[in-house]
Amino acid sequence: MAAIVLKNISKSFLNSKLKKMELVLNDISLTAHDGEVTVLMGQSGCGKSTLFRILIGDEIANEGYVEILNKEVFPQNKKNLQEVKKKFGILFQSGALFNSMTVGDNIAFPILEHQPQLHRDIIKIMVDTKLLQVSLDPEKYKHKMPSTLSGGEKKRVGLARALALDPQLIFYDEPSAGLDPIVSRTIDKLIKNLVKMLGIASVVITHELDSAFSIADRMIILKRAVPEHNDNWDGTVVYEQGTPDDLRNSQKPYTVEFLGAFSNFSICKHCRFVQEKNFEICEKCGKCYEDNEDYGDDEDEDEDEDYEHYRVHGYYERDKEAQDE
Amino acid sequence: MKPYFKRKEKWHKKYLQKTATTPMEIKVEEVSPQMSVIIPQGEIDMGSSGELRDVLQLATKNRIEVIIVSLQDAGHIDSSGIATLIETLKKMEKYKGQLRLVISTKKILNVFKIANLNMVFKVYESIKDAKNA
Repeated sequence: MAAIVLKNISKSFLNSKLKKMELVLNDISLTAHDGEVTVLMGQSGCGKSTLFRILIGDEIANEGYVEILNKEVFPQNKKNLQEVKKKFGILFQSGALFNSMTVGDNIAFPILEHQPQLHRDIIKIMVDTKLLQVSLDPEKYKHKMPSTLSGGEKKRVGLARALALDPQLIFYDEPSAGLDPIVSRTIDKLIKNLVKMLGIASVVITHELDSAFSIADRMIILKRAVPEHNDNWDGTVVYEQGTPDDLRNSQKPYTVEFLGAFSNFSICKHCRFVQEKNFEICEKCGKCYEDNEDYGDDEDEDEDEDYEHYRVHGYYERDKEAQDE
Repeated sequence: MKPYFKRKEKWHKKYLQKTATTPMEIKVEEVSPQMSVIIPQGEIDMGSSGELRDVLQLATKNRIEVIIVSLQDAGHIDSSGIATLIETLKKMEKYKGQLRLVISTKKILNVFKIANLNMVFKVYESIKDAKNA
């Protein structure tokens, strides 16, 4: 089932210097399905954030049709939008936490706003559970102020707040930007776990190819018209969409350019190690590429166990073994 | 509690009267004076978890030693439902009672798994197993 349907969305802004309307989004149509991670990619300034703001109802499109969770929210349907807003969560790039409130109050905020009938004791337990979900110790973090948190912690608290109302759909704006590889990988895993175990639809806007390829079920590349490329359209269009494998094997010039050096490489599905395309044996884990094709559930469980160990103990067991050696 | 939320609480009083909570039927079976089986039917969400909390609170007030909550007929449980169960578990631990859950669907078990709570509760596949444990 489609969680998001966008049809022929166009948006233009007034360029005050040139005194004319400038087309930003040109006839954008896309869908995101339940139980899938849809990744939106594109160069800076191509209108990803404008599209994001149209999706969450902060910006009004000039024309087109927006349907979220089977409810039409555009053309102008404020009642549906208010109803739908309770069912989706947003993780902003900077976390967007309220600096005057503690971490616990930040997470409790959407619950108190939308479900005020819940008993305060229940809300406190819910806040603890949400912090545990994002691998933060509730006793240690819930009384802290956002200004005392690191970038990664802020992002995780932001994610806990996005999860507060048990959303059916989550929008992530650059979830792993500016984070170290371990935290970034933890957040990627978390996104994948939420999708896999709870069937939450996710829409991710990211620049990080490694992260995008490891989480995406579907990828969408946006392209803004550039005169040097002899593009015969105005504004930004959906240039190409498909599964990560489709895009990796794409022959379209901009996709190849955008994915850059990455298109010459493949990722081992066992250990996520990037290496030469169509490698026979992975340099890191020693498993062969054909095995990768039969990526079984057993391996998945192993990864889950490893991740559970990381959540409980704060380090991967295999790393400690390697250190001991 | 922050003054902001106190103000909000007052503001919501009107709003609360307008939005009726989702009705949920809860069956209570008293196996023995020390054992009760509670079977919520329908979705346990933020609108209906209050009803389950009332029933569980009554049971813990009476200091029933074993409470079995069967989620077999519950189509869905959200974090407020889970928080209700955690609250009951904490109360029962004080008088050394036992809270046993019956979960037969993967969908509901996953909600517990993702918050690492499947290890905290005693989970059984059927009411019979939970009674005999």
